[in-house]
This record gives sequence, structure tokens and C-alpha cells, in this order.
Amino acid sequence: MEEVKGKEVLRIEGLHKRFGALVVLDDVSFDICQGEFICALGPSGCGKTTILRIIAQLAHLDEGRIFIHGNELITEGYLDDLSVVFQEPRLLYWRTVEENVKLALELKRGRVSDRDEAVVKKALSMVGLSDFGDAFPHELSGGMKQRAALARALVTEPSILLMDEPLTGLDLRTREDLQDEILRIWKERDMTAIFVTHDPQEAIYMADRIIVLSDRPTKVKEVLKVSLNRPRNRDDQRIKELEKYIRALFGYKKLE
Amino acid sequence: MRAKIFYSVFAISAFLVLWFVISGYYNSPLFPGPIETVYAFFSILATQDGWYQIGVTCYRVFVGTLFGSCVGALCGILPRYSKMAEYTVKSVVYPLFESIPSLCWVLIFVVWFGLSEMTPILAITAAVIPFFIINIWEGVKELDESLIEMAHTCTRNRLRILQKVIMPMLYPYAFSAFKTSFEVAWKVVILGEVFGAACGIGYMLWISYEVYAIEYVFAWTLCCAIIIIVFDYGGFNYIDRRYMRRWKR
Ligand SMILES: Nc1ncnc2c1ncn2[C@@H]1O[C@H](COP(=O)(O)OP(=O)(O)OP(=O)(O)O)[C@@H](O)[C@H]1O
Ligand SMILES: [Mg+2]
Repeated sequence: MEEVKGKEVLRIEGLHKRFGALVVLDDVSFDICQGEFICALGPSGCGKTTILRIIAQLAHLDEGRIFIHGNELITEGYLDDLSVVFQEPRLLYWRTVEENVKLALELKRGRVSDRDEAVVKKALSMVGLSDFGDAFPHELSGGMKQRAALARALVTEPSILLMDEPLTGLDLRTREDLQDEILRIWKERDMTAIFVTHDPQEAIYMADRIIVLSDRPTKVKEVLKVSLNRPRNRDDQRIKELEKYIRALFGYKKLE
Repeated sequence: MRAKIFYSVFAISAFLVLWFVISGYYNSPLFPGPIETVYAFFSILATQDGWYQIGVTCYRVFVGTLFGSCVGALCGILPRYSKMAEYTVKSVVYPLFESIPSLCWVLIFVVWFGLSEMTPILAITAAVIPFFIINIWEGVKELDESLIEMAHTCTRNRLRILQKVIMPMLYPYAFSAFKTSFEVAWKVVILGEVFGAACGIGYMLWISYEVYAIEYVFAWTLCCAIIIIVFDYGGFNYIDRRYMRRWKR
């Protein structure tokens, strides 16, 4: 039996989702505990984004139940507690980086106070963008845009952070830097994180547990516990072995 | 740039000379030349009343366009939120305002309101509404839904999303609607003032015509032309270059 890290935060039971005739999610269940870092790993098009969108209440589920702290009811407070980082940065092009980060507060509360200026600055420094507050999104590199999106997600001090392949499309060096920063912030803020990826190595490096999803119609293939100590070493032989194991699950078919 | 200025100056001079020659040839009070016209123009500007008439017309253009922009923008954006609104706007409101000639509006409003402030203002409103509707529609079609979805993860409050995310994406479309509407409004306001007002440039045009002071008809016409050109080139183009960049993709 795995030891339980904390109290259960989120539990998903029997999620089904169809788009017309296309059955995307076919009975997906898993749970997430307080302070846990969960990776959802699956091939392209298997419905990873769809799962996150359902959790964030951006899409309806056809069947299934979602429990928050043991209650099925999804309250306003739950959404206040949750932030999403998308596959693309989704920054407002007419706002500077700082204004983009502030947007999350403006939307959440209606107006921002002077105290919030400091909160925004702190979020920017947390992702290493202190010097770029006045830059516009088009003036940033891909990695910096994703950092800005991360700052926007963090500024509302969520306890649950959903990330949808935020590092896909970035070069290897930037990816690895950002992986480490996300882990650092997750630890510092004591957040519960769900991180979607199609890269097994990334999942193993980051996750406490990996939810391995099958091809469409998607089920949970396996829940893998990664019991390597943090900080982890990318060259660790055990990471390589786990990666081999996961690739074998997919019959060595390319995951990308 | 130098060449452009040279050609403009040349074209304008040629036009003035031609005008001068033709009017000189006819030598009739019904065809005043540039000198008489410019003289009348400055004699208008020399009086307080002249400036008052210009001011009144500008005020009507402004208020009428403002009303039109509110109604038009609302009709442009509501279809996003309700099917009912979509059908109403697409099959009733837009065709109505699109198809009725401005002169008809003017006559209808004269019947209803008489010679009042309301007549030219509402005529402008009715004339510019379709331009706002169509531009805002265009903008709504081009909205970046991924940004709106992102906003939905921050709040449930749709009004805030409208204010902070959707409306800024529509600014460039509203701006170009204002630009077109302004030109349309100037044409309509003159019509409205001729038939339905007791002051303003259109009214003065009508009065000058009634007393056969054709040089004043020309002078008031010159007034309109100058105001439109100044606003278009100086006003709108300047704002476009200087301030609208950040709202465009
Ligand atoms: N709004 C929608 N309407 C119709 N089909 C959809 C919609 N959203 C997703 N799908 C379909 O559902 C399936 C899963 O999509 P989803 O975006 O969740 O996959 P994903 O696992 O995130 O893929 P990727 O790794 O490429 O991001 C896809 O086949 C897609 O075509
Ligand atoms: Mg996806």
C-alpha cells in the first residue's frame, strides 16, 4: 500500500466525455492528495486537456463525479482556489506583463488595491520576470511568455494549480529550467499540482504519482508512484528504467 | 514626401485657378469664385454667431454618433450572449437601419419632434447604427476565444470578462466604426438641419440659399469640408497611429 501524503483534495470517479460520436474519456478515475504533484501522462489526443477543462469547470462531463475535499458540490470557493496554466501562454496582447499578471486579480476581485501591486511584483520575481514587467507579450521569448502565464496563475495564491503541457514547444534548456522552477514554487507555496504532459521523462522527473492514460477511448492504464527523493537527478538510472517501463506500457509506440 | 507635398500643392492650385477662371467667365452671383467664397468664409469666422453655428453642428454630430455607438455596440455584442438577441438584431434591427434612407428618418423625426434638437441628433443616430453593428459583429467573430476561456478560470463574473477581456479586443473595430460614422454623420447632420433645425451649419446653408447668397452657401460648404478633413486626417489618423497600436494584434 502506498503511504498517503495528505488529505484527499480532489477525487474523480468514472469520468465519461463524448464529442458527438467520438468517445474521448471512457471511465477515468483518480484522486489527488493535499500537496501532491500529479502528472497526467498520455498520448496526443487522448483527452488530457479535456480532463483539465472539466476539472476547471470549462467543460461539462457526460457522466462521472468530482469530489472536492470529499464533497461533491463544486462551490465558488473551489474555483477561487484554483489556477490554470494552459498549453499556450494566453496573454492579453494589449497589456504589459505586469498588467497581465494583475488581470487575474482584477477578474477575481473586481478591483485591485495598492497592496496588490506588491503581490504582483512578488509573483513576477518568483518566475524571474522582475525586469520585464513593462514589456509586452510580443517582446518576450516563448519561455518568458510561459513564465508570465505562470505568474498570472500564481498571483491569486491558488492551492490547486492545473498545468496543461505548459512546457511543450520550448527548447530543452528552457524546459528543464522551468521544470525546476515549477517544482520550487510548488514546494514553496505548498500547492497541490496537476501537470499534464506527453513526455514520460518529464512526468517521472516531476511527479509524486503519474496517472498513465491509454489511447482513446481513454481509461487510466496505471497509476505509478515515483518514490525518488527530491531534488531528483535527470541522469538517475532509475528515471531511465521507469521511462523504459512506461514506454513498454505503450508498446514502445512514440508517445508524442 | 517632398514630391507628395509638391503634387498636392500643385493640384490644389490648379483647382483654384480653374474655379477662378470659370467663375470669372460666367461672372454671375450664382457662381461665386474662390475669392468671394473665401471672403464669405472669413466673414463667418469673424462673427461669434458663425462659431456658434459650427459649434452646434459639431455638438449634434458628437451626441448623435455617441447615441448610435451605444445602440450599435449593444446590438453588435448581445448576439454573443443570447440567440434571441441574435435573431432580433440580424433579422429586424440591422435590416431596418441599413435599408431606410437618412432623408426618411429626417422627415419622420420632423413630424414627431418638429424643429428641435432631437431631429438632427436622432437622424445621425439612426444613420450610424448599422456601421457600429457591422463593425462590432466583425470584431466579435474575430474574438480570441482562448483568452476568454482563460478569463473564465479567474472569475464567474461575465461582466468583468466583458469589460477587461472582450471589450479591449473590440476597440479597433469600434474605432473604425467611429471613423466611418463620423463621415456619415456629417452628411446626415446637414440634411437634418436643413429640414429639421433652427440653427447649425445645415440651417445656415438653407438660409443662404433662400436669400440667394450663394457665396455663403459655398462658404458653409467649405466649412464642412475643412472640418471633415481636419478630423479625419488630423484627428482619427493621429489617434490611430498614436494610440490604437496596442489594441491591435
Ligand atoms: N470542443 C471539442 N469539440 C469536439 N471535439 C473535441 C473538442 N475538444 C476536444 N475534442 C477532441 O477530443 C479529443 C481529445 O482532445 P484533447 O485536447 O483533450 O487532447 P489532448 O490529450 O490534450 O491532446 P494534446 O496532447 O494534443 O494536447 C481530440 O480527439 C479532440 O479532437
Ligand atoms: Mg492538450
